Amino acid sequence: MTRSMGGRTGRASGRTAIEVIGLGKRYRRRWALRDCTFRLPAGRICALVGPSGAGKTTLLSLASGLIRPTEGVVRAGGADPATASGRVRTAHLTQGKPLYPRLTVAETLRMGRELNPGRWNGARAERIVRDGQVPLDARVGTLSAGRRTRVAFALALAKEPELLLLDEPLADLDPLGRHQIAGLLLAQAAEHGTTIVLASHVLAELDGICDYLLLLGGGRVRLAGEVDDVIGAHALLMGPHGTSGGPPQGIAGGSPRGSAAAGLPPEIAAHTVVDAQLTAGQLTALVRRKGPFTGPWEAVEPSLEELLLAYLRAPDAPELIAPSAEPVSPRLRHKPGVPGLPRNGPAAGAGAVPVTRTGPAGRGTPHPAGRPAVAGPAVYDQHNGKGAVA
Amino acid sequence: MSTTAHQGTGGRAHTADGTQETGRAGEGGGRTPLRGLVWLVWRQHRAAFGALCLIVIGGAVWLAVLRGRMAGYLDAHHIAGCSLISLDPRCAGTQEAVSDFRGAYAPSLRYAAMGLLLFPAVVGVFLGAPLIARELESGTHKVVLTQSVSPLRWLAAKTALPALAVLAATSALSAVFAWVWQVGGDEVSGTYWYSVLGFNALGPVPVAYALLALAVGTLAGLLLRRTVASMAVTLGVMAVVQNLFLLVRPYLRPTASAVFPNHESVQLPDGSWPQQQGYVTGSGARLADNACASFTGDYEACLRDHGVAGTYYDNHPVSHHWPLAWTEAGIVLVLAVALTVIVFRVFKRRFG
Repeated sequence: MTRSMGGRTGRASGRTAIEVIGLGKRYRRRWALRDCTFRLPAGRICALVGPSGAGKTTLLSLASGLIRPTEGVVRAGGADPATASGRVRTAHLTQGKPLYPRLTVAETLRMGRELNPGRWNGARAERIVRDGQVPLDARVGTLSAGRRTRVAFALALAKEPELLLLDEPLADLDPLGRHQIAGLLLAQAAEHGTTIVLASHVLAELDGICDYLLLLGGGRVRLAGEVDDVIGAHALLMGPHGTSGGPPQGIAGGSPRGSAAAGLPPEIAAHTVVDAQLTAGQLTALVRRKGPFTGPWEAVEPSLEELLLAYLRAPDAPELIAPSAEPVSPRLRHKPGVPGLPRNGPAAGAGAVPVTRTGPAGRGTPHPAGRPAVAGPAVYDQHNGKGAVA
Repeated sequence: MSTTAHQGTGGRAHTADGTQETGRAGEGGGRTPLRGLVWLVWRQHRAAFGALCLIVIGGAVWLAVLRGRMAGYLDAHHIAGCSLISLDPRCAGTQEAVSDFRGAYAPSLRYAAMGLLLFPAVVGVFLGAPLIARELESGTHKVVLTQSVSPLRWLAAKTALPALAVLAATSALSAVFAWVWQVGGDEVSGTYWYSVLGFNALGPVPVAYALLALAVGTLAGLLLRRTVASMAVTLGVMAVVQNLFLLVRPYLRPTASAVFPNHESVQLPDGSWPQQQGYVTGSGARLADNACASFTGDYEACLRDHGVAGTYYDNHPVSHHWPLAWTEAGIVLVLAVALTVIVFRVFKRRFG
C-alpha cells in the first residue's frame, strides 16, 4: 500500500533531500564511513539498513550536522546541514532518544518552542503528546519508553522539518506503540511531504513503511533505490537441489559473474547470485536478474526482509545504485589510487520484467554458464554511474 | 508549502497561537520572563542556582550576626585594633580581653575564610564539571544541537549564565566577608591579611578562583565526557593551582625593605608581611641571615668583622595587600579566560 507512494513524486524527481558525495568520517583511527556517495530524492520514506557498525548513526549525524565529515560533502536540502539554514530544516531523533529527564513534558515542549523560534507548531506537539495519553506535568524521566518516544517525536515533528532523521526510533516500543508511531510517520510524510530516513536493524518494521532503500555495509553504500525497483531487480529462486555431496549449507554468494558460486546449477549461476542457502535439499537463491529464468526453478519476488537478509549475509555482494540515487552534483575526484567500484546494475524500473509470483519464469534452453543471454524486452545496460539525472 | 493551515495565514493568528502556548506552558514550567536558551539553561541548572542563592543568604546572615557580636565585644572592651602584643599605649593591659576575643571569635572568622577558600573548588566540582560532562554522558546535548540553535550559542548560554551566577554569588560573599574583616580581622583576631585564609577570602581573589574553577570544570567535562572523572580532575587542578599561588604570591610584587640600625630593635609596623631578613654592611651590601650562624667564636666580633651596620627586613606592608590581591586575581582571571577560549575552540571543532 505504502509502496505506491513512491509514484507520488516522479522518479529522480528534481528535489533532493540528501546528497552525499565521497563522504567519510574517521573516529581516531577507525573509519566509521568511507567513500559514501548517494542521493535521496525528496518526499520519500527511506529505510537505512546495515549491520551494527555499518555507519548508520554516523551517516545520520553527518546529515543533521551533529558531527562534521572528515572528507567529502553532505548536503541536506541543498545546504550544509551544520549551517543555520540547514539546522532549521532538519529534525534528528538520535539513538536512544535522549531527553532531559528532569524536565516535565510541558517544559520539554516549551524547550522546543524556545529553541525553534518562528518554526514551532505547538498545537501539533500537544496533539501528538495528548494522543498518547502522556501527562503534560509528568517529568520525562518517569515516563515509560513508549511515552518518552512520543514526546521525542512531538519535539521532532513540531519543528515542521523538511527532513526527518530517525535513528532506531521503534527499538524500545511495544507492538502497539510501534504501530502508532509508524502511523504518525506515514501521516507526516503524506500530509507534509516530509522526507524521512529511518535507520533500523529490525527489518520487519521497515516493510510497509518505507518506499526507498539505502543499505550500508562496511561504511559504504551497497544498495540504493526505490524499494519496488530494488526488489524488482532481484528474484528468489527455489527448487530441489540434489547433487552428490552437495554444496555447503550457505553458499558464498556475492560474485558478480557467478563464477564463485561453484556447485550452483548453471541456470542460477547465470544471474548475479547474491546469496544461496541449501536447506534439506531445497536450494533458495537470491539473484539479481540478468534475463529470463530457465530451469526447474520457481522464481518469486523476494520480500524486503528476504532481500535485506540475503545482502546482510553476503557482505561482498556487488552494489546496486539506482539512477534516482545517483548524485546530481558532479562527483568529487578524490584519491586517484582508490578507484570506486563500478556502480553498475540494471537501470532500475526501466522496463523491468515483472516477476511472476508463482511458477517458473519461462522454460527455455539453458544458457551456457557465465554469460547470460539477453532476451525479451529487458535491456540491462551497464550503468556507469553518471548522467542518471532525469 | 508545509503547514500553513496550522499556523494561520498572518502574523496575528500566529501571535494568538503563541500566547496561548505560553499560558499553557506556564502550568508546567512556571512563568519566567526568560526566553530561548537562557530559559533552558536556567531551567536545567536552577537547583544549582538555588543552592548558590541559599549559600549566599545563609552565609551573609551568619556573617552579619558574627560581625555584630564581634563589634559589641570590641566596643565593650575597647580593644579595636589591638594585638596580643601591642606597642600602642591605647592597648595597654588589654591582653586578656584580646585573648578572650580570639578564643571566642577567631575560629568563626577562620571558618568563614575557610569557606571562601574552598568555595571555588565547590563551584568547579558541582557546577563546572557536570555542566558539559553530564550532557555528553547522557547524550542530551544532541537534543539541543538538533533544534534550530547554533552549537556555539548554546555553549555561550551554557557558560555565561553559570559564570554570572558564580560571579554574583562569590562577589556578595567576598563583600560580606570583607565587611566582617573590617571589624575583626588582622591584629585583633591574629588572622592577618597575608595568611592563607585571609588572602584567599578577601577582595577579588575568591571571585577570580571561583571563575577559574568553573572554567576548569567545564573544560574537564568537555574533554573527559564523564561527570565523576571531571569532578575529580577539577578538584585536583584547583588544589594544585591554589597551592602554586601560595608559593608565588610574595613575588607577585616587589617587596618593601625596612632597614634597622644596630642599636634599634627590629620591629616591623603592624600588619606587615615579613619576608626576607638579614644583615646590611656599612657599604650597603647585604649579608645572609646565617652569615655568622656557624661561627663558633664571638658572634658580635663576627658581625663586626663583616662590617654589619644594621638589619634589613624585606616585607609587604599593609599597603601592598590590594595590589597583590588584584595582581593574583588578574592572573587567575586571565587563566580562566584562556581556558574558556579553549572550551569554545574544542566545542567548535567538535560540533561546528
